[in-house]
Amino acid sequence: MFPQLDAVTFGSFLVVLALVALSGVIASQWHRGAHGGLEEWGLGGRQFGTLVTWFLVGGDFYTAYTIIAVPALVFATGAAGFFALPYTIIVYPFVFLTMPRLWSVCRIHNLVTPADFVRARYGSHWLASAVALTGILALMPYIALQLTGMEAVLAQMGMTGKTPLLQALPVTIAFATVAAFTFGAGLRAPALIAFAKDVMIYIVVIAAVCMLPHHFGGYRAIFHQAATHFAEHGSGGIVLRPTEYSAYATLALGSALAAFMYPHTITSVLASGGANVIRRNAVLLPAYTFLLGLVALLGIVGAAAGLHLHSSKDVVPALILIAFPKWFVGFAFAAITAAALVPAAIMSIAAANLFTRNLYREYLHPNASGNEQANVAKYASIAVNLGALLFVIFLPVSYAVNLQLLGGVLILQTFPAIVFGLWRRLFHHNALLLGWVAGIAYSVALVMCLKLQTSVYPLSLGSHTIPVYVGILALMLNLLVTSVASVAMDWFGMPRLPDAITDEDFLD
Amino acid sequence: MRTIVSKVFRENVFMKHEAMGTHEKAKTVKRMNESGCKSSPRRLRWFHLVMLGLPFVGLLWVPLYARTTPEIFGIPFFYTYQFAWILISASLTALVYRGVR
Repeated sequence: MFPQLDAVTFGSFLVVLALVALSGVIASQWHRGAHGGLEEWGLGGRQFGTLVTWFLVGGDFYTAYTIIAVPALVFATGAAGFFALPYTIIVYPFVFLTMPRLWSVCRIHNLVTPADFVRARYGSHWLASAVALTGILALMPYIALQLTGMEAVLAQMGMTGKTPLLQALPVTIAFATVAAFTFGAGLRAPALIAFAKDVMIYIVVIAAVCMLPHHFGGYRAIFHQAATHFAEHGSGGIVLRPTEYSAYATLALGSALAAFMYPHTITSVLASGGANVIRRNAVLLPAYTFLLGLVALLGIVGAAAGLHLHSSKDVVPALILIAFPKWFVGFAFAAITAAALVPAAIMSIAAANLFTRNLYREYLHPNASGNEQANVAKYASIAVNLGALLFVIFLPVSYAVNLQLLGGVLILQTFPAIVFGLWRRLFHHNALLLGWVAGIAYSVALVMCLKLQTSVYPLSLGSHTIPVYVGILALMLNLLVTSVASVAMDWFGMPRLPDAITDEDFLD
Repeated sequence: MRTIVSKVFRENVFMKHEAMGTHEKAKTVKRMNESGCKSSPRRLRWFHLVMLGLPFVGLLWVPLYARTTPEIFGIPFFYTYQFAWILISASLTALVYRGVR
């Protein structure tokens, strides 16, 4: 069926992946909560300790797509692609400040999604629905990207078919695996697979970082050759040029502020068993950032090696094929596949939670019991995965990439509603809604204007042109509209809706 | 040895013992208020906020580090500087955690 398939590589790939899946199935039965309901399925019973949370957030935040895309960007653009490092450093002080408060209030009021929090704080179901819809929209292309990540690995191993049916086979298998995991065990399954997945990724990356520089004559030679490579191609360089500073800083800041507005990262935060678990993880999670920095350097290694690739996305798989024996290639590809499986599962759970809590329960069946909500969420997660699968099969991969880029900009527009509410109800709920509309409209207009190819907009201020991340521009407009409208609405005496949250709810 | 392992495991993997019902939680909060303990014991002070803000300044002020020299082990300063901030930022966050715990 697949003539180019290498037996050793594919054999070790299958064995490793089967072991990971098996461990997930066994582990998901363990410490199972008695009461059931959506908090059990969708948040793993809110009981994960420091270690599980570390693996869960790490597995959720540093996805297969990151492992492929960050080095690809560094390979293509040089130092400019390295913004992922400052981004994943400054995100943790922000997490330390905000997420324990969110956890605390969600624990006391039994809230499951960020939109639940907005609903409780501002009382407005419109605002909550806006947050929920943004979350679902931003997640769909992200899940699709994880599935294409698995597909890319399978294709590298030679599992590519001639007919459309055979082409769709690998990604359909990937989909079925994710769907089966999430349906049965909920968040518990990806939490425990994340253990195996992260250990494997650490082994692969450390092996790659130890072997590859040796292979290409050490880091001094690598940076020297990479500098020559970028100079020859006339794009990028091993150090930023002054014209790239503003884009670098705004991309890092915007991505850091958006990262924990995504429903899937909030899901893994809310699944922890205590506010201090989150604080400890804000200290411990930068270990993954170190790993990400090493992975990003592989882009420089690829540039130094002067790889000729179809697409820059192939840089990591290509380096793995160059440097490692066949059985380890299979292991490495299994690790990348597991690294796609875990976040895809968490993302579909997060989207299912949003649908169940903020659309189904809000508008269709307000009195749904816990068990009914869990059942609805299970089928919703299947629907979400199916949507992502159709996305991957029928649309070109570049669409998923571009829409994920837009998704990051859109999710940042929920920042004012979620974060400011963690301290005071500074803004009027309708002002937040108006700011959200302005932010979303402006981001879509700007990203369309850039033809979905990049998220950096060249802003003209007088005679200067400053390239700025679209998300930051839209967030600034969003905040401006929200503040002005809020003052105006309070001035005209438009009533505020009741607040279900008190200061004591943030105490933990 | 086994008990130590199981204790560490219990505390770091699952934390059933910390999970408190809404009702008990409300009682705790009420008790703390009655005893005059109005402000949270975990309150962040201004210097904690400065410490958490430092990584933002150090990394978003790009001209500070966008250069090749000094090289360390053949790696340009641009990269080593940012790698160093991983450790600095985590240490600052750890200090704030100790301060508010």
